[in-house]
Amino acid sequence: MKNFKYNKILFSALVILILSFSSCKDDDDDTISPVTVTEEYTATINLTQYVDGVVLQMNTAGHPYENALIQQFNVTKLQYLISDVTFTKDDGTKIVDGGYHYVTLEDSSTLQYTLNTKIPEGTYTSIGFTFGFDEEDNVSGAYIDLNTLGWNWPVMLGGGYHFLRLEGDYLDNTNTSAEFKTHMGTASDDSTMPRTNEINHFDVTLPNSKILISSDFSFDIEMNIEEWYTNPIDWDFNVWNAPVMPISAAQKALNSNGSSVFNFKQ
Amino acid sequence: MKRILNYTLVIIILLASCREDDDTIDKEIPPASRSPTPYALELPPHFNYINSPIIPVDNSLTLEGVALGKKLFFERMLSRDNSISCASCHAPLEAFNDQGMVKSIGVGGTLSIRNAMPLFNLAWGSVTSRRFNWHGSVTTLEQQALGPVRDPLEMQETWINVASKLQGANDYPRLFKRAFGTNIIDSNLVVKAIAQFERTLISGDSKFDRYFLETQEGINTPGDNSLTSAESRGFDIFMAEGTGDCFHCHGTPFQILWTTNEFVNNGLDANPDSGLAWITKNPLDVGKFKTPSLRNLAFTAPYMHDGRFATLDEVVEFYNSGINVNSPNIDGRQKPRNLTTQQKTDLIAFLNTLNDSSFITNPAFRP
Ligand code: HEC
Ligand code: HEC
Repeated sequence: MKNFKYNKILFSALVILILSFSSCKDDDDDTISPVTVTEEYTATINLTQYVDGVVLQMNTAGHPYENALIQQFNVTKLQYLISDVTFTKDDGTKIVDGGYHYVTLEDSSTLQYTLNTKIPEGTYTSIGFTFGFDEEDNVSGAYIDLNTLGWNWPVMLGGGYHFLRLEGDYLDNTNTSAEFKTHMGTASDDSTMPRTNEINHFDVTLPNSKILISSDFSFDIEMNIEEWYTNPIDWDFNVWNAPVMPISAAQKALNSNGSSVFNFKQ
Repeated sequence: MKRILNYTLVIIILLASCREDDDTIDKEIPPASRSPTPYALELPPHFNYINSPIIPVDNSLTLEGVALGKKLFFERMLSRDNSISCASCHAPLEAFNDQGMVKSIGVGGTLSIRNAMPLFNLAWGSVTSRRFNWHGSVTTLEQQALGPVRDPLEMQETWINVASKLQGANDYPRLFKRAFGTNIIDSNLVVKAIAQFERTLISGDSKFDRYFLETQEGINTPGDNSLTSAESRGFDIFMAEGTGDCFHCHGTPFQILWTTNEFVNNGLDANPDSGLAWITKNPLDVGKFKTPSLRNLAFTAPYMHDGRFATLDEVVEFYNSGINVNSPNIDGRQKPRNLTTQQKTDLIAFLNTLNDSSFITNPAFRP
């Protein structure tokens, strides 16, 4: 294995070297020319989670929540991914932040997402984002932080990354507590040989998200967990508990139900 | 995280690079007190799929530090009667484990309460928990190395004694001076050196690594590394939520380490040991242990925190039919797999593609 010579550390050392040369220059070429600029502001998103209008409580005793089929459940794990947050003006122009953000309720620092892109002042008719990664971004192995977390979606199911992991316990039809693991990503159909894989992200336009931006600002993207399980498709935990990753119909149901999951709040 | 790390490096070097005349000063200092030489970790190419290793800013790797750490790792003076070293329980040929020992043996034959853990890819620590030991009792390798020396079941020595034994040995003061600029030896410097050595223990050259490099990266590797049909079926079982479903905890090819390092209860016992809760005092952590990497299993039997399974057949049979589904805090992903005999054999065939024999024979890791 002598071709293991490629070396990230050496590469960064090179970058550092180049940077350090430029940083020691004198500063007298920084002449200031007056130009009119549109002010740009920092957007901070708070990611919040509710069940039936009440803040989600994780790892509760018992099964405090109910889906549309009156099946009781609790939540023990919630992780999800959003990307391409987009601000749309009334003339149709869009400001898109091409980044992505992974949320896990186990780490409260992930509940806030500050966009790298600064947003020019003005009035925007709506704010939106992609749930998961769109086709262009959902590339197996492309994101080192997500790889490190093991957030990959199996290549044999179409690859890319998980979009959602929502797990907990529900009371099954014999009134026994059983586990569910609602994992979402590429929809992969095994009724064909080879499997057919369909992209499964969805674009959200947050309802009533018109916003006037004239300073640094923040807003909430609320996830309403019960909506994953209804509207239009009532999700039956007895049928779709786990595994659901290889079940194309379940994946597509999450996609259609997903459109009513998110709300905007400022 | 990677970006932050790179930026800190950049800043440190920028600061250093703007000072003047370092060279002239350097020349007047006798060679023995020169600052130590930086040591660049050599990473297998596909390790760029995950975050860079986490190296503490106050203990960056140096050639002198790593060499000293290696010497200390094999140093029997770290134990009460000079009978055992770290390597007694963490032997290179056994992927830095004590293969065959259910519970490790300390000074005078005392039995540990746990199965020793193999040591490799520790520089990545953990992203989710950043904790070491089965129950996550420490958060850095430096802190970890303090433990075995004074553990009454392991090396049974005091750090004061260790420091004075090393201080009195003729080569150590000089080596500490080279690595850390002082010849006054204390526990803090000993564990720093050991941790530096441990961070160089990188395992990434198994058959599956080579297969991945060839198929994913188009890099040629020695030998024929295509998967047999059994190995390839086993990989699919490992990755399928409907059958093996191992990857949710033990990682995917892109995850490289073959563990998420998460603390979970995989359902070994109906009444589990306290596990992580021993440290956090959180009842929701009862029964949770560090998810081990599945690399190098051929060299590290027996398995699990208490070494209860002697073979991989037993491990796979446990996942297949032995899970205690009512164990408190059992992970939601754990239920009996109901695999066929063929599937079990295939799964084990795949696990064995993760053995890295060039790691265990690497001369750089020998005394
Ligand atoms: C008597 C046998 C024994 C000796 C000697 C010993 N260890 Fe260990 N080591 C163990 C056992 C057992 C564990 C698991 C401990 C636990 O979970 O409580 C372990 C765990 C570790 C871990 C944690 C690995 C991980 O993935 O979290 C590291 C690192 C380690 N040892 C390094 C060392 C070093 C360094 C020394 C010498 C200073 C040493 N050990 C000496 C038995 C030993
Ligand atoms: C829910 C998370 C989870 C899943 C899923 C899982 N494991 Fe594990 N695995 C663990 C944990 C945690 C341990 C250590 C448990 C302990 O010792 O208390 C472990 C230990 C092991 C070990 C022992 C390694 C050693 O060094 O002692 C092997 C082998 C193993 N698992 C293989 C598998 C296989 C094969 C599958 C799929 C059939 C699988 N695991 C699925 C969490 C998981």
